[in-house]
Amino acid sequence: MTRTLPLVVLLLLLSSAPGLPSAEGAEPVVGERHPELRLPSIDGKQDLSLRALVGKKVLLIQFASW
Amino acid sequence: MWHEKTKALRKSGKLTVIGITQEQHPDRCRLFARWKGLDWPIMWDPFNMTGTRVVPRYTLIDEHGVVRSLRANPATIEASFLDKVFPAPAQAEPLPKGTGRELIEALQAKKRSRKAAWFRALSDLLWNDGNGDEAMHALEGYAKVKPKDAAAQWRLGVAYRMRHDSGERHDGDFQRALDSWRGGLDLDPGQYIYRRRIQQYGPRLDKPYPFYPWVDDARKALEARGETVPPLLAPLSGAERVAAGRIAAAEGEKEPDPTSSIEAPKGLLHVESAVAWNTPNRRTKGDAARVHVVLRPTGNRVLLWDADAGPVTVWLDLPKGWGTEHRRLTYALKGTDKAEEQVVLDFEVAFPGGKPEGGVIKGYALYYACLDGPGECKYLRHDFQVALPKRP
Repeated sequence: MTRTLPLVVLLLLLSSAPGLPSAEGAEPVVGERHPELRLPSIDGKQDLSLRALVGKKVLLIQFASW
Repeated sequence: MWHEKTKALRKSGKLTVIGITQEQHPDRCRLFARWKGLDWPIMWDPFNMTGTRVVPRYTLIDEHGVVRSLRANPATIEASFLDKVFPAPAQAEPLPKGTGRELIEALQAKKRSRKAAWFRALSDLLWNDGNGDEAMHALEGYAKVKPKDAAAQWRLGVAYRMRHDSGERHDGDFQRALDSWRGGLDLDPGQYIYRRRIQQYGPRLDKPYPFYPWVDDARKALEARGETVPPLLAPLSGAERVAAGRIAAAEGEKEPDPTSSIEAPKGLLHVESAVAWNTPNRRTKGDAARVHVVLRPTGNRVLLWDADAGPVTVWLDLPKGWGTEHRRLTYALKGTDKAEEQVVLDFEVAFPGGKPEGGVIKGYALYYACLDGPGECKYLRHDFQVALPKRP
């Protein structure tokens, strides 16, 4: 039990920490904050963060070019 | 439609547009964006961190970072979203400090766990172009202790394919990728993103459509505009280009070296193969496979492809009753003197009654190459085999 508790706390931290996607994915829910995403741009030249856009109205387009 | 609609809204400052793509190869999306003039930033999410199950998806996020719609409508975006002032959430969430990677490292520093290591590995592969074996070790370890975690299995496949496309490739990485993707799909059969990744490389039997049919048009259009056409990280495979359907059997093709008369030195080429099966699908009957073959110089001797002399020709001998569209395949080398160039081919295999049994495909490649320098150039043969296990 003493070994298990810190691990549980850590897992909870990991799954809810801002800036990190959860293990199962950062599925957005209407009415809730969009989970933070910090990902490379497709040209690899910059990191892009959703949180950096707070204060703006955003259209997030998820698509595939195939 | 969205692109046209949003141009004026972006220009006026009322709307910010950002894209995300889950594709394996970001360079393909970059080519598409340049061709179509998509001038908004696009994030690369190969591990599907957003947990997206279907694309496209249009999400509206208000000025407080709150999701207001997952099915945005261009006809109503102004009235229902842009012209509204949304209240701030009751409890403001503190903004994160540092990058995702820094947060992972901070958490990991407190106590190491497999999950922390797994996040760190994803992060390394995304932001550091690999960190090769250490990152893969963490991903493999997590998938092993979480065999029922569909995302973990699938993401491991993405990592294997990333390594396959890199200079750090391990033999069998593409097959590992296909197996891991299939493992993820078996655990979560409704996951469209997982299914599409397998279908991308799989047989025509359950292919929903050709993948990347626009690439040639995009290249021509960019050239016509006087723009530089960026090379693709991984060339489009035949599997990606073909349309849905069943194959027509090969007929009337002449075997190029039926008497094995062409010199066949051993140890010059290494052959790696991967077998992509159709995904489970209630609408299709039977099974088919797409076999991917890569030939690359072993490095035992200096081997320079002689592209000017002619293409690489491959001949296939299939077990009795098996079918394929072309027993004779050709690969046009991109350039002379490029020892690092790989010959990448793929072909489809159909089985009697659509019921595959295990078997061995025998084949050989005929190629022009110069050995130990530009002086000694020959036409050579390399025999190989591809074993197809029973349908998993």
